Amino acid sequence: MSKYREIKTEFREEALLRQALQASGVPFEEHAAPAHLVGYRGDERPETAQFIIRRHNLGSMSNDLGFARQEGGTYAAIVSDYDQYNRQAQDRLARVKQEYARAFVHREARRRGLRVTEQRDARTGAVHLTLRG
Amino acid sequence: MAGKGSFEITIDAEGNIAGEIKDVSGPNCERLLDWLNAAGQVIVDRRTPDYYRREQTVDRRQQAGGRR
Repeated sequence: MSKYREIKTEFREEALLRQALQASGVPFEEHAAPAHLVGYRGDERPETAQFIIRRHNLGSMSNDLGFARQEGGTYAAIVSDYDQYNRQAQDRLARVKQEYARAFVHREARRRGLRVTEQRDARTGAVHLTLRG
Repeated sequence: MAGKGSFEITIDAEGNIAGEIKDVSGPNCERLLDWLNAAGQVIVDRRTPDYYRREQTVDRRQQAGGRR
């Protein structure tokens, strides 16, 4: 070992985000034109997004969770103030991000002709991957 | 990456990535992790103590050879 790097994952690619949402196992909607998020009372919120996890998949008091395209093509997670502290919503978002990172690593390994072995740590929830030529 | 070297990648429960290169010594490994940068924002980028150990070993051997 002689080099170490840490990356704060960002949703930079639409195809990988879609793949991550599918892999995370939670139902989601995809809209060609951004659609409004809905609040826990059924009220339409001003925020819009192209990918939306509806609130009934997040908890009884949750608002919709969205992923909105930004200038430059990256996606930002739209999380309500309440859901910043809602464990279920935060777990969903973390799972999507983890699946995004997994999809990214697997794709890059394929591009480089590397073999991947993968293990999930049941205690921490982390995924460990070894890539070899 | 050819030979015995490998990438060790950990994706934590929050989705952030930590990558290490193993069994590749010295400057050869400097840029081998650059592909990870496309996943997001680099928050830590460092050489490990092993990097410096190997470099010092090479330097001492070169110095010893030079005195003969």
